[in-house]
Amino acid sequence: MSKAIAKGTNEEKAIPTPSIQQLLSALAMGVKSVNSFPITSKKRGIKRLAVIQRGSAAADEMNSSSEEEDEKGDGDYDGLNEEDDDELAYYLAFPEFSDLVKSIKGDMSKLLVNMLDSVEAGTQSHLSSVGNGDIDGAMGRTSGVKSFGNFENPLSSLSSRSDFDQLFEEPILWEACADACDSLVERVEKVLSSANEVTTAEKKSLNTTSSVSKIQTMRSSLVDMEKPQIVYGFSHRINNAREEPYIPLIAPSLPQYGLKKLDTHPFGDFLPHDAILANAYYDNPFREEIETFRYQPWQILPSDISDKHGTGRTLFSNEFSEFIDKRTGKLSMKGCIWIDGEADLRCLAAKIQEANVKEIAIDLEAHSWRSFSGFTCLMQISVRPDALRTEMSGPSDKVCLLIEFCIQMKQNITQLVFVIVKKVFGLLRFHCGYTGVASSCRSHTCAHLC
Amino acid sequence: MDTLALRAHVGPILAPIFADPSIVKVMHGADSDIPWLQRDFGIYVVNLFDTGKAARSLSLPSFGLAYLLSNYAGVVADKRHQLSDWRQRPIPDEMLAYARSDTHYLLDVYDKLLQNLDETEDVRSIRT
Repeated sequence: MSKAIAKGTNEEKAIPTPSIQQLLSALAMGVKSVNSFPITSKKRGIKRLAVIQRGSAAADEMNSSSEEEDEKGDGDYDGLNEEDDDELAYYLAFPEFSDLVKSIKGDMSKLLVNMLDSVEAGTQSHLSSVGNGDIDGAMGRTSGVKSFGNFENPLSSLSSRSDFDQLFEEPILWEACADACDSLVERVEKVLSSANEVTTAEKKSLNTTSSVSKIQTMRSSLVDMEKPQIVYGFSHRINNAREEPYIPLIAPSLPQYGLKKLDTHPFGDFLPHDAILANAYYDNPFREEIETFRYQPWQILPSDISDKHGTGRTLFSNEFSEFIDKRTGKLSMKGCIWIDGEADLRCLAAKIQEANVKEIAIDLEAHSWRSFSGFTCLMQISVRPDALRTEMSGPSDKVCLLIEFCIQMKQNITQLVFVIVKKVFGLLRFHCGYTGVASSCRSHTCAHLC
Repeated sequence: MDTLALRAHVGPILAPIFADPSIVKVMHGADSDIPWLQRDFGIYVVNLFDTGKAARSLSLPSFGLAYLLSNYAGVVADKRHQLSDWRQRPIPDEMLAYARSDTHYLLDVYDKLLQNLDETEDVRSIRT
């Protein structure tokens, strides 16, 4: 039963239940308050604060070892030492500073008491939602003096300004803060524990439901993720630093695109007087292509496309498009080829160059959650449907014939056949297993490569 | 294309194509893609047509890909996987379909944008 209800009908205004975000904020604030604020100029008081956070066992230890610590000279907590205390005492001698400190202490006390009220309301509400059963038992704990996550604010009756002014120096405030922190930590642990108990069935439903949120998508895709930098053996590290200048990665196998070192900096007269120059500057390796660039004649001809579905027939053509899954009405993987081998990539590049392709559509998907700069994970390339179709020759033709053969079989042995074909004949391997598009590979070969 | 597995090969193999001025590279909102290509693969892009910039030049109501797909292709874009974890392999079909939709319609959208741009002063000045 919540405290608001337990207090009876005299209270018309129910205590608002804080959200978990508010509770976490309060927890952070509480921890910071207890750990950071110079609540007293007495060294003993500062030490007491740290002990509150460490628990009662530490308090016993403190009592027994305080003299020893004083001798060692390591008894200052949170960076406050005797010099700081002396300095604080000096400034407190100024009436204006003293009044200001007193006023701030009063405000801070009031803020902390409000926070304690909020924590109390949250924990009571939490208990109410769980029910009045044996919570300690349900959590596998032995019943103690304090129930799980329960917290009662001993300072809730304070109201006047003078009370708050004096309260800052009272240990009861800080002990209450420490208790509130403990309660919140227990609640957070409980919430995390509940979150981890999501069943497999629930996870599946999260993945399949159409109303799944972005956050849920992010969470569900994080499972058992290994670092690609390690799995794929990136030859250069992911650089998260901002101090080092950016140096473009240029393929050493392509000397024509190599980096040309400049004799001087490229800023000319625009160099600021306080600029710090780098050790070396390199020219743009594609300067010639960029500076000699001219629009292709066909690029600036007036467009004569009249088909409302476009040359690729992708516009307003969902009803009869060969790339749309008739069952779901969404874009299928038909005609899409997955490339993850060097030979396949070389084949694609060669065909784009040989087929005199005029336009390619490109997009990238990158990952930047745990890496500041991120790295590219996927590249999608689309060309006109007929751009590469007539250019098929050599090994790829054989692959398509084999694919046609494979689709006569069951889907699950198709992959196996590809592996055998690759090992025996050294042919290219087209992954069609989970794209499920083997049947379309011949008629739309390389129409959409990704 | 799995740029994780092919990270060391993408640059050497595709850089000539991306630097080839006779091939128009059509991208949408390439502000991020261009540095990614340079950073990860040493690829520089020559002759880029950015459909986002084109939409801006045409002062369309929105410059996003979702609007272009809706307006020109009649497709409602599914953007749920914008923040998905693209490191995972194999990539689920749903995410692949999303990735594919980013470029599948783009060349036809590019054609339509070119048609609209034909009427603008900028393109006329280029022709002359």
